[in-house]
This record gives sequence, C-alpha cells and structure tokens, in this order.
Amino acid sequence: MEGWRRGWRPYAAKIAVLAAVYYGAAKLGLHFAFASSSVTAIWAPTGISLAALLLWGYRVWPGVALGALAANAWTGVPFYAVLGITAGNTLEALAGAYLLRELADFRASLERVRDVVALATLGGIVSTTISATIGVTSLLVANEIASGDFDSVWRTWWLGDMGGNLVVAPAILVAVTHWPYRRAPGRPLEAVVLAAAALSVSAFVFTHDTSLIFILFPLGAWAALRFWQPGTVVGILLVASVAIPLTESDKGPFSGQSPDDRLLLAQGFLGVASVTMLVMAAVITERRRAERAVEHIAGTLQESLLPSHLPAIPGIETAVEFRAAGEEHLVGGDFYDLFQRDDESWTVIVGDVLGKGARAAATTGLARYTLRAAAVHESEPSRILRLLNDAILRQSPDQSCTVACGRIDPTPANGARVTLSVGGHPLPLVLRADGRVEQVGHPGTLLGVLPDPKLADHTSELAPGDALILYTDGLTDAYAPGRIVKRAGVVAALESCAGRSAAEIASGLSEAALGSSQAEPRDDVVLLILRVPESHAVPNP
Amino acid sequence: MSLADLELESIEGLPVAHLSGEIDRSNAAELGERVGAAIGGQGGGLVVDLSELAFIDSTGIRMLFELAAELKRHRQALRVVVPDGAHLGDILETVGLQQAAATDHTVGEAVAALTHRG
Repeated sequence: MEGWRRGWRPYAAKIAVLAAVYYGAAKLGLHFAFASSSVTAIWAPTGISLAALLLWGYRVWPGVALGALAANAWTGVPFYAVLGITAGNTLEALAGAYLLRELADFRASLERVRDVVALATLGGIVSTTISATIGVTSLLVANEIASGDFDSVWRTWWLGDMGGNLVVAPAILVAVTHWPYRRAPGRPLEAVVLAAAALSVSAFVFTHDTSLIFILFPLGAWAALRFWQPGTVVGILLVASVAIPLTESDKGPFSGQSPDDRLLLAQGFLGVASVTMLVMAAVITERRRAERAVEHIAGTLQESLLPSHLPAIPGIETAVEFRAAGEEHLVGGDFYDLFQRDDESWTVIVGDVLGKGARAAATTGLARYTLRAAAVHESEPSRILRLLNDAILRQSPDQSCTVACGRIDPTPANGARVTLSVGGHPLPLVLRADGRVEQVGHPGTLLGVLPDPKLADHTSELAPGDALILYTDGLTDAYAPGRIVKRAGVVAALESCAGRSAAEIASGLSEAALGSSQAEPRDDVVLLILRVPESHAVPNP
Repeated sequence: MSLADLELESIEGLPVAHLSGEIDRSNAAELGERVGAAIGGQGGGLVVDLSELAFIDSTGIRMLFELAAELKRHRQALRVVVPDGAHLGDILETVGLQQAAATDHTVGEAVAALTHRG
C-alpha cells in the first residue's frame, strides 16, 4: 500500500505536467497560427507527446489525452469531433512510441544514425498519419470542413505533426538525455558565437527573396560536428524562431506563395535540416563510441603486456618508470618484466619491440611469454634470448626486438650476482655505492633478424649500496634529434644519485634525461632499477 | 613532406645511397625499398652513407639489417658509413649491426673496401 502511494504521486504529477505543457503548447501554437487558417507551422504538441511517452513510458498517455481534450474543447467544434481529434492525437503518440521502441530498439539520445532514421520515418512519417486521418475525418463528419478540402487539410495536418516530431521531439529528447551537455568538444564561447551567427544569418536569409538558404549549411555542419546533438537541436530551434515569423509575414525565399504553401515550405526546410544535422551528429557520436571501444581494447591489451606491479624481492629494492609514446591505441613497444625463476633466483627483462600497433603488441606478447617460459628451464640469459630469437624468426619473421635479460642470484654477503645477456639493447649500467658508474654486459645482435645472433653472458656483482639500471633507448632518444642524451649524460646523472633509493634513482635519472618536458616522447621509455640496500633493515614493502 | 632525403649516386660503379634527415617508422619501409632498388646486378655491393643522418629509430635499424640480408642473398656486401665519434655509431654498435654489415668512417673508405674486395 505504501509503495503504491509512493508510485502514484509522481505518476499523477507526470500526467498533470504533460497535460499542462501540451495544452500550453497547443494554445501558443494556435495563437501563432497563420492568419488565414487554423493550421500552424510545426505542431509542437505532437513532438511533446512523443518525447514524453518515449521518456516516461506509455502509461503517461492520459496526459496527452487530457491536454488534447482541453486544447480542443472550446474551439466550437462539436464534442464528438473533439473526442475524435483527442483520440487521434493520443493514438498517434502511442503508436509512434510503440513503433520506435518495439520495432527500432530506439534510444532517446539520438546518438546512433539508426535512431535518427527511425525517428524520422516511424515517428515523423508513419505515426503522424494516424492523427491526421482521424482528426480530419472527425472534422469532416462534424461538417467543419468540406469533403473537397479533405486532401489539403489532411496534408497540412500531417506535415504540421511531422514538423513536431522532427524538430520539437528531438529537442526534448536531447535536452533530457544529454544533460549536462559537456561531452561535445565545442567550447562555451564558441557556442555563443555560433548562436549569434545562426540568428544573424537566418535573419539575412529569411528577409531576402532570393533563395540563400544554402549559406546556412556550413553553420549546420559547425553545430553538428562541434556540439553534436545538443548543438543541432538548439541550432534548428534558433533558425526556426527566425524563419517562421518572417515567412509568415511573407518575407524571405518563400514569399509570394500562398500562406499554406509558405508554411509547408518553411516546415519542410526545418524538418529536412533537422534530420540531416541529426544524422551528421550521430555519425560523429558513433565514431566517438568506436574510438572509445578501440581505446578500451588497446588499454586492456597494453595491461596484459606489462606487469601490474613489481614483485617484492627479498633484499632488493625495485623501481620502474614507464612512459608511453603516441596515442593511446598505439599498443606495444617497450616492455619490462620481473619474476621469480625458482626459490633463489629472479629474472629481470627490459625490451623494445620494433614499431607500435597491433603487430608490435602481438610480438611484445610473444616476447614476454617466450622469455617467461624459457627462463623456467634455461639458466643462461643468452640461451633464453636465443630461444626468443628463434621464436621471432619462426613466428613473426618481419618483426624484431631488443632485449636485456638478467638473472639475479642473492649472494651470502647480502649482495647479488647479476648474469646479463643483451641483444641489440643499450647496455645496462651499475651505479656503485661510492658513485662510480659501470657499463655491464656485452653488446649483442638485435633479435629477430639473424639466425645466429651474437649473444654472450656477463656476470657482475652487486654489493650493498649498488644499483643495476636497465633502460630502453627512449631514455636517450625520446626527444631526438632535438634532444639526444649521450651516454656520458646518463652516467653523470647517475653519479649524482649515489646512495639514494631505487625510486629516487629512477626519478632523478628520468628527470635528468627527459626533463620535465610535457611534450609527447617520440619513443617509449622504460627505466628499471634494482638496488641492494645498504642494510637489510630496510623494510620491503 | 618527407622527414628524410635519399640521394643516390654511383662511385666507381658502386651504388652509394646518402641518407639524411630522420628515419623512423613513418618512412623506413619506403626508404628501404628505394635503397634496395639501387642494388646493382653487376655485383660489388652497396654503400649506405649515414653521415648526414640526424635520427634513426629501431624501424630504421631493422631496415639496415634487411638491406644487409638482401645483399647477402645477391652475394654482395653492405657497408655503412658513420662518422667517427657520432652518436649513431653507438646506436649501431648497441644493436649489433656489425654482425650483418661492416661500418666505415668515410664513403671513400667504404668504396675502397668494396672495390678492393671485388
């Protein structure tokens, strides 16, 4: 009983609001009706009814019926004809909403081309025949019109209702579903300029007898492309607010015609312009949706190519910096990994796959998982890289990558032994506790180009306070050729980081090499630091 | 507008490709094809002069390896010219290009090495 009461009040309120708005729009429409006849340009109540039923559901139909009844009750037409007109208006709204929902899987935001086409055909052309047919027949039966006028009155009625569904209904649907109108790229000041342009150009066009309507097209494209659906509906309403009164007073390109014909031409122009611009806006929002989907896929893929976090290695601090170059959907490129081989030792990898995009991402995946699998049973990093070289030559013969691969074994003296093999990759560096910097490893061949690459293992010891620095060429060449950091520059930056933690070395080095540049790096950058702390008292997070 | 410029000439019957500007993934494939088309049927080899090159990325490096492989299929040799002390020399050493192609400091040295051999 409580739930019923709670649900009943908003429902009654919606019906009351709909009936009142319908009645107001109808009276306003009749007030502005062309002097010669009782027909108006765009019949707003039809658009209001359709939008209300689409947004609030079929059950608010009594609002349409009450509004239509009130609007037509005191026009002097016999009561049974008023009932007929009311039934026609209500059925029109119900049929339009039903066809759109059931047949067209309609979405009120009009963000898909199919929604606009459905609204234009099912709502604009089909459902409006119901009200025109029932309404005009009611007038004929009541002898309000002569049977010879049936065709022309029917046509005017039908087109007026169509105007309501093509101009007014989209405005309401978009106003409600796009709130707060912040998604389109257009800026507020730009919107003000566009609105002023639309009003002044419309005033110019609709005061000149020569048909200059075409000069409105660029403004229509501007509104649709920059302000999407909200820009479209506001633009059409602004043009209509100028075009209809001027056409009514026999000015502009449609002047010289009979009042009814002028009305139909102005209506036709606004309806066609509305649908055209809405289609244009829908193409843009559909493209945006597709871009979002691509970005989502690329992001998911990229996440699968990099570890979500670095594992905690007992007795070793770790830190990583990764900067991706290029647009979001350019996946692949640089990669890194750090994982446990067995109870004792760990494997660290930093690599760079040629290029970007889907092919590079596939090769990055191949590299990452080949290296992980190979590291399980191969202890020598050069053997691991050789297996990767074979795998690339076999599976992606047109791809290549550079990799630095290291095995980390703890030593009894609280230090670590690093066995490194490098294939075509910048040689890693060791920063000693006293500030000396050494290059470690032997240069080897780029992987994926030669069947027998030159690859060797190199072993070095890390004492407490020493750090191993692995990086990709983006660190030195990210802003090439304008800014190239020579190896000496990297060494000098590292020397000043002696005694600092892994994270401090990472941020200090990337700051020195890349600067605080906000510019887009040309290449990905990976910087991975493994450091043996001075004392094991340093807690590992 | 291309980032890089390619100039082809023939010195003592040997094709010499001078590459200048920047080579990255936007133009590496096209440059590789144009340089590859210069490989002569008469044997000898090919000199790729990178003295005036401002930048090369991994795609460009890959292109050099492919040129070397292409020449090897024709039983010819690729020699790459990089001035002494250039940053590019470090890059080519890093990627192990010497496994596939020898490097020289000047075009003259490269031509001499190839013609002497031939």
